[in-house]
Amino acid sequence: MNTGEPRGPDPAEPDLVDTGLKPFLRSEGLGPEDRIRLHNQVVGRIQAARLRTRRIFTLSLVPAAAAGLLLGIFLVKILMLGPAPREDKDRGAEEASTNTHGTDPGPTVGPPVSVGPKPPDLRDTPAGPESRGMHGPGGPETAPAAVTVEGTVTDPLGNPVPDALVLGLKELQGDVARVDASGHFHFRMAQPPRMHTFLLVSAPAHRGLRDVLYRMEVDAGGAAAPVRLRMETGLPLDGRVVDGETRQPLEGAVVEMSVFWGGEEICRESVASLRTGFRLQPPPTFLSPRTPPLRLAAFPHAPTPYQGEEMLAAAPQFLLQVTVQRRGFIPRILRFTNAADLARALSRPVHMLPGGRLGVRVVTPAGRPLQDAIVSLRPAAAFSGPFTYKAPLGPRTDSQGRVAFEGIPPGRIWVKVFHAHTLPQAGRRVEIARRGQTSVEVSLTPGEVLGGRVTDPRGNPRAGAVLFAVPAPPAGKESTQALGPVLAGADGRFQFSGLKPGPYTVHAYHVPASGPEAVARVLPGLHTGTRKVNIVLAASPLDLFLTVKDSRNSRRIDPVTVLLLGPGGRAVRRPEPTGDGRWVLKGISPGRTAIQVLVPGYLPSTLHRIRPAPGQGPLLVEITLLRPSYVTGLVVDSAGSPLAGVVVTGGREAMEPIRPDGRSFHPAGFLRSTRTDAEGRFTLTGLRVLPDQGTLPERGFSLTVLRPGRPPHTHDGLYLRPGEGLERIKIVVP
Amino acid sequence: MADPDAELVRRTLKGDPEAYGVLVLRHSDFVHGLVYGILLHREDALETTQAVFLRGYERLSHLRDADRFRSWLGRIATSQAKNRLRSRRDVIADTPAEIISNTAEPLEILVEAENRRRLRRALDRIPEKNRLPLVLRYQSRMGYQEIAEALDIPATTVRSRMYEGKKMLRDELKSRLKETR
Repeated sequence: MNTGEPRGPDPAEPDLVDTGLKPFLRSEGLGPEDRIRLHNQVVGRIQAARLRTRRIFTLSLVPAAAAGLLLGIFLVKILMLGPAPREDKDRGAEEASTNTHGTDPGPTVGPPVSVGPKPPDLRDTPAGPESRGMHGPGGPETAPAAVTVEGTVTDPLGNPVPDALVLGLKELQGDVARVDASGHFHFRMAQPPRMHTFLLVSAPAHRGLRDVLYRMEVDAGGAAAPVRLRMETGLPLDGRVVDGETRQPLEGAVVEMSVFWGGEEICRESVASLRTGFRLQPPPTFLSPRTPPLRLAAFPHAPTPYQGEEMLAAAPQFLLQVTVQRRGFIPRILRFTNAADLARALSRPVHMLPGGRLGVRVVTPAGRPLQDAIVSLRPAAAFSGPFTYKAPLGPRTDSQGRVAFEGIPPGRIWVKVFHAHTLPQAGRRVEIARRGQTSVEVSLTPGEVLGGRVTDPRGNPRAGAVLFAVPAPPAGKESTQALGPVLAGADGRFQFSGLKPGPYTVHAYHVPASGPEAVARVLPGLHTGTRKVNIVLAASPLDLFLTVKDSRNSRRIDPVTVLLLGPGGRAVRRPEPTGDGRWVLKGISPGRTAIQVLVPGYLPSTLHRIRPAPGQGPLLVEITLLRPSYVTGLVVDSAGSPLAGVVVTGGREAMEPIRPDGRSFHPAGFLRSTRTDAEGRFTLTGLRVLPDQGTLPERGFSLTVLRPGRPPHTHDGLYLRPGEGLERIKIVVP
Repeated sequence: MADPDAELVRRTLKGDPEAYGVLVLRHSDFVHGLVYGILLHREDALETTQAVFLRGYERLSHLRDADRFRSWLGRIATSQAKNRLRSRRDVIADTPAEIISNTAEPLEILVEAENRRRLRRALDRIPEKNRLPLVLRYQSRMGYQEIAEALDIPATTVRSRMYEGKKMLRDELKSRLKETR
C-alpha cells in the first residue's frame, strides 16, 4: 500500500539531489488538488453515466461529522441502486474489441470476485465534445435537468424558523432559499444533486441538525420528496478573553473570525474584546465581502480538501477560524469545521497565556552591531500550532543590531539570522521562558567580496549587465546554487558580497536590450577577496523578423512592441517595419531568448522561445494575437428591478470539467470583478481567455452576484470562446 | 483500517461508485507515475490517468483476482500510455518557437524551464525500464517492493534498474553540460 513516503534506504539519494531529478519529479506528480479533481472527474463521469440510466434516484441527507449550532452542514449523496446491467453481447463485443487491439490486459488467473453487473460504458462518443458523455445500455436517457427541493425548517417545538437560509451547494456556491414565515422553503437546484452536494442550513441563534437521515425519491420531472429540517435554538456567539494565569478579563485583544470555503476566505470580521467579553455576529450566509479588494485571499494554513481517502465525503470544505491576539500573549487560533464546535468553544473563556520575549542582538566577531540583519524564528520541534512570531517593529535589526520579539510560546525555538554581507549561519537554538526576557547574541562572520568590471570588446562599460556567481561544486557534486543576480553599475562595476572563500565561476549576461545571453567568462580557481575580475561581453548580433496577425481574420497587425526576456532580465524593444508587413528586431545576441509581442487592444502573446545560434541567418517568427474577451449583462431582482452597485464576479471553475448537461469545457481561467451601474448593468472586459491546446473550443465560467449580508447568487453554465465576447446576460437574483 | 482493494472492487461491482472513488484516490499516484514515466508530459499524463481509471471501471468485471487490482490497473495504464504516445507522435510536429508560459517572470521562467527541459530530455533518453522505477520511486513515492509488484519484476531488479537509471541520467546530464560549455 502506498502511504505517501518512500521506504527503505536509498544509497544514491545524494546524487539525485544534484541532478535535481527528485524535486522535478515531485513537481510533475499529483498534488492533493489533482487527486481530488481526478476523483471527481472519474466518479462524476460514472455518476453521470448512471444518471442517464436511471430516471429515479435516491438522494440522501446525512449529517456532517458534527453538525452545528448556528449551521448544519449536511452531506447529500446520491446513492445509486446499482450499476447498470450490460447486455452479454455488449460484453462480448467489448472483449472482441480488446482482443483485436491487444492493448488491454486480459483476465488474470483466479476465481471471479463478483458476478455483479458490468458498469456503464464510459467511453466518449466519437462525435466530439458536444456529444461526449457516458451512456448505459440502450442509449442515453435524460436525467432531470433540475431538481426541486422543498421542505420546512422548524425549531424543536415545531415552530417555523423564518429567515433561515437553506443553501444547496455545488462545489463552492449554489442555490439559496430563504425560509418563509410559515417555515417553508423551496428552491430548484440548477443541476441534479451529485455526490458531493451539500445542504447548508443557517439561522441566527439556532443550532443546526444532527443525526438526521433523509431519503427522498426524485422523479423524472425533477421533484423531490419534502425535506423536514428541525433546528435547535439558543446559540450564543458571545465570548470572553481572559488571562490564562490570573483568570482576569483581558481587554484589547483582537478577535477575528474568518470563514473559509474550499480553502478561500469568504468572510472576515474583527472585534476587540472588552472586560465584558466580545460578540461575534457572523452574517447568516457567512458572506460579507471585503472591499476592496474583492479577490478572495488564499489561506496559507487551510487544510487541503483531501484529508484521507476514506474521509473524502467529510472533507472540511468549510472551515471557521477564530484568531485571538494580544500583545505579549501567545496568539490563539481556534478552528472548527462547523459552527456547533465554535459556539461550544466560545461558551468557555478563551485563555490567553503570556508568551516569552526574546531580544536578539546581531554583531560581527569584533562585536560591532550589524544593522539590517533579518531575524526569523521557528519552533525547534514539530510545528505544533499555527501562530506567528511577531516583532513589533519588524524582524530587521536596528542600528544597534537589536530586534525584539514578543508573545512567543515557551520552549525551544530556532533563531536564524541572515545578512547580505555575511556568511550563512546555521541558526541558534534558544530556550524561551514563559515570562520574562530571553536574550541572545548572534555573531555573523562577514563573507568575502568579489568584484570587477564588465566591458564590451572596446573597453566601454556595459551598464546593467547581469551576473551570477556560481561556487565550484565540491568533489562528487555536479552543481551548486548560483548566487545573484547582480547588476553592473553605470561604470560596468559589480560586486558580490557575503561569499564563502573558494573558487567561483562568474557568468555574465548582456542586458536584454542587446540580447539576453552572451559570453560567460569562466574563472576556475578564483579565490575571492584576492583579485578583481574583468569580464568582456562580446556581441554577435542577429536579426529577428516578426509577422504579427489577428487570430480572427489573419490580418497583419501594427504597430507592435516586443518584450525581450532572458536570463539577464527583460527589455522592451520597438521593432522596425520592413515595408512588407513584417517587423525586424536587430541585434539579437546568440543564446536563450523569449519574446512576447504587445499590441494595444490585444492580449499579450504567449511567450515564444527562440534560440539563435552564432552564424545563423535571420530568424523568422509568426505571432498570432487574440483580442481580449468580454462579458456584459444586467442584474435584476425577481421583480425585474435593476440592482445597482452590486458586485459581479466571474471566473474560472476550478473543478468538474463535465457539466451536467454533458458539455465538456475547460475553465475560462480568469477572475474578474466589477460593480453594476445605476441601471444594473455590468461589463467585464479585458478577459484573458486563451485557446485550449486540446480539442474543446469553449471555456466555461460562472458569474456570482455578491451583496453585503445577502446570500451569493451564482449564474452558472456560461461559455466563452477565446477572443470573443458574451453579451446581454440577464441575471435574476431572488 | 482501510478497506483492501478487493473489498472496494466488490463494492464497486455491487453498484457503489464511491468505492471506486476510493480506489481512484488510492492508486492515482501510482497510475499517474506509470503513465508519466512513459509520456514524460504532465498534462498528457493527467488526461491519460483519468482515461485509465474510466477504462478500469468499464473493465472491472473482467478482473479475476481482485487482490491484484493494482497490477491489473498498471497494465491498463501502460497500454493506454503507449497508445497515447503513439498518437502523440503522429500529430506533434517540431515547432521552431516553443510556448513556455503565459505569464512572465522572465529570469525564473527561463532558468526553471531550462532546467526542466534538460531533465526531461535526459529522462527521455534513458530506457523506459530504467525510467519507470525512478518515476514510481520519486514521484509516486512507492517503496521498492511496491514497485516490484507493480512492474512484476523482482525487487532486486528494481534496485539494479534504478541504479543503472541514475547512472545513465547523470552521464546524460554531464554530457549535455559539456556540450553547452
